[in-house]
Amino acid sequence: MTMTALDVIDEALRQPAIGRRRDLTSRLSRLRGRLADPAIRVVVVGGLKQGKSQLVNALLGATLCPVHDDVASAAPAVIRHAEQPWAAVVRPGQQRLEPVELDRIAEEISGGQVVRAEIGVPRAVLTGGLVIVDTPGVDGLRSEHTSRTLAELAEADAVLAVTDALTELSPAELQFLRFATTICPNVLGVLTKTDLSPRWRAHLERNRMLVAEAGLAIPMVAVSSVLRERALATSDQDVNAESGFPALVSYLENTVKAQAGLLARRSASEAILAVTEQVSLGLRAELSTQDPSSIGGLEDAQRAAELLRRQSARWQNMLMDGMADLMSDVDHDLRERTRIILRHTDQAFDKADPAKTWDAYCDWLADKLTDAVLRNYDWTVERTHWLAQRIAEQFDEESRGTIPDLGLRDPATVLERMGALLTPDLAPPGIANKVITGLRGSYSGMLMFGLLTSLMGMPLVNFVSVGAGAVMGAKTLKEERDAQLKRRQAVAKTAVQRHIDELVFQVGKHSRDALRQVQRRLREHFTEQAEQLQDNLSDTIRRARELASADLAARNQRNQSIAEEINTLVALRQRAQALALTS
Amino acid sequence: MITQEVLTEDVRTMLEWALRLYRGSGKATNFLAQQRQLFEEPLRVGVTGRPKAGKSTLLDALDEDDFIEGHTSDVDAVLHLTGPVRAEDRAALQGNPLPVNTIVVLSRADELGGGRVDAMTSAKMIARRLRAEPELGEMCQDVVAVAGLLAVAGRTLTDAEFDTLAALAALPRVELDELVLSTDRFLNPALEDVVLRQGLLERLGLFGVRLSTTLVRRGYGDPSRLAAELVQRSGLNDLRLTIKRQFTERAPVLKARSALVAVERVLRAEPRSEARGLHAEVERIQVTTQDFRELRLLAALQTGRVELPSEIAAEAEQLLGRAGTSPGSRLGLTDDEDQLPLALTVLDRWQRYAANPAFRRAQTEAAKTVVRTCEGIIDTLTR
Repeated sequence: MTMTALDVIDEALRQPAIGRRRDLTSRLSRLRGRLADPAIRVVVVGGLKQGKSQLVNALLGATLCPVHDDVASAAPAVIRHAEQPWAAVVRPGQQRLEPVELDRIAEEISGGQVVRAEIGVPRAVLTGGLVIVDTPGVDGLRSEHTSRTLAELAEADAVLAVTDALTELSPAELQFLRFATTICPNVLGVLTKTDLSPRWRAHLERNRMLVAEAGLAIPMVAVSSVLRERALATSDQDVNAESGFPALVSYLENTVKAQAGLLARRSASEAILAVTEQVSLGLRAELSTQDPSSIGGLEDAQRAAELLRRQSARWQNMLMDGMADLMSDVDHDLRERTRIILRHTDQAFDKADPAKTWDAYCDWLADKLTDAVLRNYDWTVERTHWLAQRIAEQFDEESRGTIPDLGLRDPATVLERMGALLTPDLAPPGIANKVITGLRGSYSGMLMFGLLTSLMGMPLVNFVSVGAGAVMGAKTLKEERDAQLKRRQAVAKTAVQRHIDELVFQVGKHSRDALRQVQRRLREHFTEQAEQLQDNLSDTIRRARELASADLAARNQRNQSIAEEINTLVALRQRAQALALTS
Repeated sequence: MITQEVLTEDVRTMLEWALRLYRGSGKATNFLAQQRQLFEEPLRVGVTGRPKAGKSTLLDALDEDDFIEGHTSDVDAVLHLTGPVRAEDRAALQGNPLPVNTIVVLSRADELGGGRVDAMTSAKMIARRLRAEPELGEMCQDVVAVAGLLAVAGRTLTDAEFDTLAALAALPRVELDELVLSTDRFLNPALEDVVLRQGLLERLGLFGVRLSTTLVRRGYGDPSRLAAELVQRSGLNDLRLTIKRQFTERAPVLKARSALVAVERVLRAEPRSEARGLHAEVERIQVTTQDFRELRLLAALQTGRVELPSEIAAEAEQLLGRAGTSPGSRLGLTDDEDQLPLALTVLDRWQRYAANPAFRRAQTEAAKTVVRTCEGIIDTLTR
């Protein structure tokens, strides 16, 4: 069973190795489209001023392409068969065809404001899908015109390489011919202007020799466009024969058109050989290298795990240090606040009699202490949140902001449990006590002065001793009163001091307990977070490991499939080669 | 001539200086001694171009002793021959350190026009387009179209050839047209006198035969008139005139150019620290030589790369030496007239042009160059 060119191209397109290369598939698809299209593209190429356009005009018997003594064609002209003549151009920067009158098409092409011209004319030679493409002259291999020509060459089913008969092929022309045959295998050399050159036969022979020496299989015909035009104008078959055009037309009819199938197969064969070559090269290169991407993934995960380990050590330290600092600071804060209260108390009780002001003082003290404890609590909560925030920042973005409810108990219960300040014994001495104290003073005074005056002959109890006893008694009474005040003040101070000490102890104990609880809670929270992260990472590492080991298996599988693909490509190449040989 | 004697003297001194400096180097001494000898010889013009560009034909047509084929290092000026100007021609013209010594010749100009009778008109239009092309214009002084074969034939037309042409011209119009349609037809062995026609085709080409028979029909009835017309139409006279203006009249300048380029080459090939003075001298001569500036400006004006207002453009070209470099021909006066007063008025006028604020930069620069030319004229006249 023989395969058509389209079959082989389809097979090539089905190859996964080729399918992965979008550039190659698009090249093959373009080729397929062209082969499926019955159009046979014959591209006319050559150097400047070799008579390409005149050749096309003479072949078709109409002035379609610009012929000028100066450089004429600035854009390719694509000429195909049409029942009704028409012409259109593509302007720079546009896609769409803009219709122009057929008479003006040559002028448009040489004007330079055209990227491509499309022409349809009713001509027998164009039937059967023959499309002739006239191109701007090739000057070196660089200019803009040249690149347009080379682009057309890539799409060619056959190439008419034009050179004039005035001189033999130059080395540059020969080089271009060699280049053209690598792009399109079907090249016909056309020697033009034979009418002008007395030595065209010698040049034709010389060119054939040069081409053969260069190892190129390029048949040659010699033509005169001037004679062809004369022949068409006068319908003179002899002149037509003289023009050399029958050989050219016969080449188009009998070689290009009749062997369109072979041309297609040759083009397909060339293209597939080129494509498979490229793909095989790529596959062989892949065989010899290892894909490092999965191993890279594993390394990444391990790096992240290591980072996490370091991070967790950091946050735990931070929590411990932070909490120790916090406790000492909270304790200090409370002591500071109460010390100020105590100082105010001392100052107050240096002057005032606690017995008289105690109740008012107790209210003031309760207010002050409650305020101090609550402020201290607020501050503790604030500091704890701040610390939790700092620790949370050690974790990655996702877990940030997830701070647990700290549950820091407020010290109201402590204050309640503490109860009010115990009132010390501040009662002033009773009347009996005063009388006894007064009598004790007056007794010793009366006795001292009674004894003294009895020496002067007066009785023990006389007005002097009674007076002295009264004075002394009053003095003793006053002294006793002052001492009592001092005692009350001291007692009050001691009582307050003790109360505050007790409060600081109780509140301090409470807040330490509360903070320890918070610390435990934070530690639990962040440990959980860290464990989650660790789990995620472990999972990633495990998967990366799996992937890496699976990669090895997959790679072996891939290597095997590469080998298979290469074998398939070799088979495909053989079919492509066979395609070019079948006639 | 204005500063050409000074230039020649300066360059001679420069060559001696270089010879003294490079006394130790045998290679450089040989080269420089050769250059010194060449400097005293007449102008040598090299004819270059691709193979088959028509170099030998053009040499035949010009028939000048000092023109040689091929671009060798010891030519002072170059005629570069080409058909349609191609990328390789541009490449060949590039790299000339002082491009005031090149004329591009569209040789085989008849073939550009497909050998039609009006082919030369067409070729001359192409030459004009190329001349104004900035890229090519920078690389040469002028572009001229010449049909070499026609020129040679015109210069050496024999009576026998004229007779054959006359006989052909006497044929009925249709018959002649058929005959000259292609070389194959013209050399049809079935017709008589094929040997004569073959000779004619070799000498004139198909274009020459077509043109000659047409001219004979139009009344150029004797050999000398036909020959003169053929030479005229071949473009050879245009080329000769261009060679005269660009090369012959500027011969001392071109010789100086060759010497400068040669010394520069030695300085580059064998750099010496003590050659700094010589280097500066080479540069000084290149920059201050009015002739180099004149040549460039003249070429720029003639090719349209620099445009002056039309009423003063012609005067500028004349002052710059288009019609000759003597003070008289620059001023457009005969030598016996009193040239100094006119020269002073012209200088005054051009100084005003150079200060004209409406001029563009290139125009101001051009006017300044003309001012210096005028100063040179006055200098020569008052010496």
